[in-house]
Amino acid sequence: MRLLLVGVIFLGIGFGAAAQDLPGVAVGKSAPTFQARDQFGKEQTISSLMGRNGLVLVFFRSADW
Amino acid sequence: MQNAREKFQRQGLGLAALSYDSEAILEDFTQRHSIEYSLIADPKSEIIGRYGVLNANAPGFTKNMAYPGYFYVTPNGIIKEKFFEAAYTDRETGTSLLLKLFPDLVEGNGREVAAPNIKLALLQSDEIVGPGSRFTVAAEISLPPGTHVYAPGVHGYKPIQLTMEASPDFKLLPLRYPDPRVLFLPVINEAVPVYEGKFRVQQDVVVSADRAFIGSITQPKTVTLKGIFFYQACDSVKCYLPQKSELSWDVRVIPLDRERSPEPIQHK
Repeated sequence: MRLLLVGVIFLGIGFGAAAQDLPGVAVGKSAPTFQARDQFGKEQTISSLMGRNGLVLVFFRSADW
Repeated sequence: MQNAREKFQRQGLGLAALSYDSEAILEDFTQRHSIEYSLIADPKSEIIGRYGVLNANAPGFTKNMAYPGYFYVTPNGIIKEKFFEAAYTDRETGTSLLLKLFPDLVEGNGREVAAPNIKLALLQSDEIVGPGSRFTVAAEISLPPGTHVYAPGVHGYKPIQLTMEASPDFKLLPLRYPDPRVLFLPVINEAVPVYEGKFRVQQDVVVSADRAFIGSITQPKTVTLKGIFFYQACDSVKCYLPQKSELSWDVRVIPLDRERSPEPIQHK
């Protein structure tokens, strides 16, 4: 987990933005649960997507335009 | 992002990407780009809203899309890190993202560059990028045992310094140096910030997304990033002569995918 802490420090230094300026649920909070379909028609949740060391959940703009 | 999928798997990390696109759009995109990881459809932007990353001010059919970024969620379901940025055109590459989460774990042997007194290797998160892509290049410095270099901010000594050459083809974000160690030097009776052993200086880069630049990339084009690394290695009794090494990293910039989903399923 030390590595992840290093990552946090980098983000702080690299972009000079305080955590509260960033959009999104705050670090330290529970990730909001959801149930939604993926492109293969499969129902997915946080648990079904989770790896043994965690989950990277990316938000992107669009696959259309 | 797809290229990074295997690397995430090797780190035991789940990877999923969510947008306000419909299942039909995501399915069409997946077929065109052979995506293997889950793309989650949130056509009503409900999940996007719950995560607090809804862009309600976006114009026209882009209204209620997500701000681009990511959350890292621990196996216990806690948000441990997040990364979001304002720049609309930046597209973080998957490997660059992994490098931020696990800076010490990024693979690649690195290309060695001649450098007296130290070992210097060059790494990069991506070989192939597109306009607006955000990626990372790094210089990895390895010092022999008992040797150190001075960290930026030191007084009275020559700190290491990486000076990158600017170019209209990309934007350079602030350099990232690791936290130094404070070393007490009995010979001079002083405590100074230093680096020892192996460490990396990292440079995040955003490929231009200017209209003119995008227009100029009709064929894949090689873009070279250049920098000069200044350093002076010392051991407990002496310092070697100050040195500089010329560094360069090549990336292939490929044209943007401009193909949209078939008309009936497009955002309107």
